[in-house]
Amino acid sequence: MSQVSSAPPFDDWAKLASEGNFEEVSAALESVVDWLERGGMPLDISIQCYESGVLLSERCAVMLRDADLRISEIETRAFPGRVASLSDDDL
Amino acid sequence: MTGRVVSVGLLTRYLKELIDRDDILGDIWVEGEASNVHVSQAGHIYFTLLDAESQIKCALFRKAALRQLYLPRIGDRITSHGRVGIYERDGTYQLYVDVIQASGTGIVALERERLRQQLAAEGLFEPSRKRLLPVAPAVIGVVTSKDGSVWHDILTVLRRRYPLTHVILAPSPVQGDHAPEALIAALSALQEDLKVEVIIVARGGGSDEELAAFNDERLLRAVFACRVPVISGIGHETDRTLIDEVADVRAATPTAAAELCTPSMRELQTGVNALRNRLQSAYSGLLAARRGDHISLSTRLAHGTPAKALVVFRARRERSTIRLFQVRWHHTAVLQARLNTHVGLLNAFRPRSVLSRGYSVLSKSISDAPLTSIDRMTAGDRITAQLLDGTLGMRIESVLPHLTVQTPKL
Repeated sequence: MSQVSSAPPFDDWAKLASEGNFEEVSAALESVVDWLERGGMPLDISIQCYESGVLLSERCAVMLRDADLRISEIETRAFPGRVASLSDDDL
Repeated sequence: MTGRVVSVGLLTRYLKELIDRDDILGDIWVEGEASNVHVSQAGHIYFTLLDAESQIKCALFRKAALRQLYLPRIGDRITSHGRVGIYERDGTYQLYVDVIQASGTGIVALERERLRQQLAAEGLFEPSRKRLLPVAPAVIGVVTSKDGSVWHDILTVLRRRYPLTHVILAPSPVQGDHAPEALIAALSALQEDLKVEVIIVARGGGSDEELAAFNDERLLRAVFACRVPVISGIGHETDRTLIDEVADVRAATPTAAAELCTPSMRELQTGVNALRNRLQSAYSGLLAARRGDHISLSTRLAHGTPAKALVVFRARRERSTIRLFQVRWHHTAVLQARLNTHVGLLNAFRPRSVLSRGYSVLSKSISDAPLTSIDRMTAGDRITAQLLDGTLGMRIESVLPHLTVQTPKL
C-alpha cells in the first residue's frame, strides 16, 4: 500500500510501438527495461511489461531493417522577390 | 555666418557634429607606422600613426584592446579600423580604433577580422551558448546548393548512417552576391517546419571569395538566432569562415556535418541489442526470483506433509527393528553361553563320570548319603562302596584322621 509509484504506462508503450519514430520507440523500450529492472511488480504486470518490451524491441529491429531515408525539398519563397532589390542596393 | 563670433566650445561642437555625421570617417581603415605607443593605467592604449606626410593620434580603449590578437609596438606598420572623432577638451581629432592588424593583410581579411571582433564582443561566438546536437534527429534540415556534389554526398552519408531520418533540403545558391540573402531565406524556411531538429549549412571547398557568403554579417546573425542547432560544414578542412564560429558545431566538411548529427546504424543496432538483453535478463531475473520463491514454498510445504513424517517414522521403525533383532540375538547368545557352562558343570558333577575316573562313593548303605567325613565312624563299621559297575560291602579297619599340617606361628 505504501508504494505510490503508478502502474507502467502500457497504453503509451502500445501507442509508440505502433506510431512512434525510432527514437521514441527505443526510449519506450528503455523505460520498459527500467521498470523491469526496478522490479517490485506483481507477476502479471511484469509479464505485461516484458511483452511490451518484446513488442517495442521488435519494432526497433523492423525499423532498423526497413529504414529508408526520406528526402524532401522546400521552397524558399522569400528568396526570388528579393534578388532584384538586393542587387539594386549593392550597386 | 560671416561676421558672427562663436565660442571655441561651439566651434568644436560644430566640428564634432560634422565629423560624426560623416559616413566615411565613421568607418575607415587607416594604414601607417605606429609611434608614441603607451598604455594608460586604465588599460587604454594610445599611439600615433605616421607616414611621410602626416600623423594622426589614435586611441584603442581597454575593452577593444582586450579583443585584439595583435597589439601595436613602436615602429610596426599597422592597419587600424575605427572612426575619426573630435576630443572636445583638447580640440584635437583622433582615430578611435576598434581593430588593429599588422599591415599586409588584404582588405577583405581586414573586414572579416573586424566583423569577427565585433560579433565576438557581442557574444555571438560564446561557447556557453552553443547548443548540443540531437543524438538521433527525426528530421534534419540542410541548406546548400541543389547542384553539385555536396547535397549528394550528404544524402550518401545519411543513407548509410542513419536512413531512419527525414532530410529536408532548402536549396540556396552558396556563392555570389545574392547568396547571403538566399541562405538566410533557406534557413528561415527550414525553421518554419517545427519538426526540424537540426540544420546543416554546407558548401564545398572554394576560394575566400567563393566562401564570402559565409562571412556575411546578416547570415551570421541569422545563424545565431536560429531556433535549432546549426552545424556548419563549409569547404575543406582548412577553410575557415565566420559561420564556423557562430554555428553550434563546426564540421570540417559537409559529410562530416552529416555524420556529426547522426548516430550510425551500427550504434543503434548495438543500442537496441543491449536494451533487448537487459529486457531479457531483467525479466528472467524476475521470473527466477519468483520461481525461487515458489520452490522454497513447495519445499516448505513438502516438509510439512504426512508423507515426510511417514518416511521418518518408517526409518525410525526400521532402525528400532534392527536394534531389536540385535538385542535379541545378543541376549540369546549370552544365554546359550551360560547354558553351555552349566551343562559342562553338570557333566563334571555327574556320578558316573566321577566313578569312571576311579573314584568311588562310600556310604553306610546304598540309600544313605555319601560319606564325606570320618566323624562318627569307628573301626568295625560296615559300609558300602559304589563303583562304576557294582557295590562292595566293606568293614572299616581303622579310623585315622588326617594329620593337620601345623604352620608355625610367627
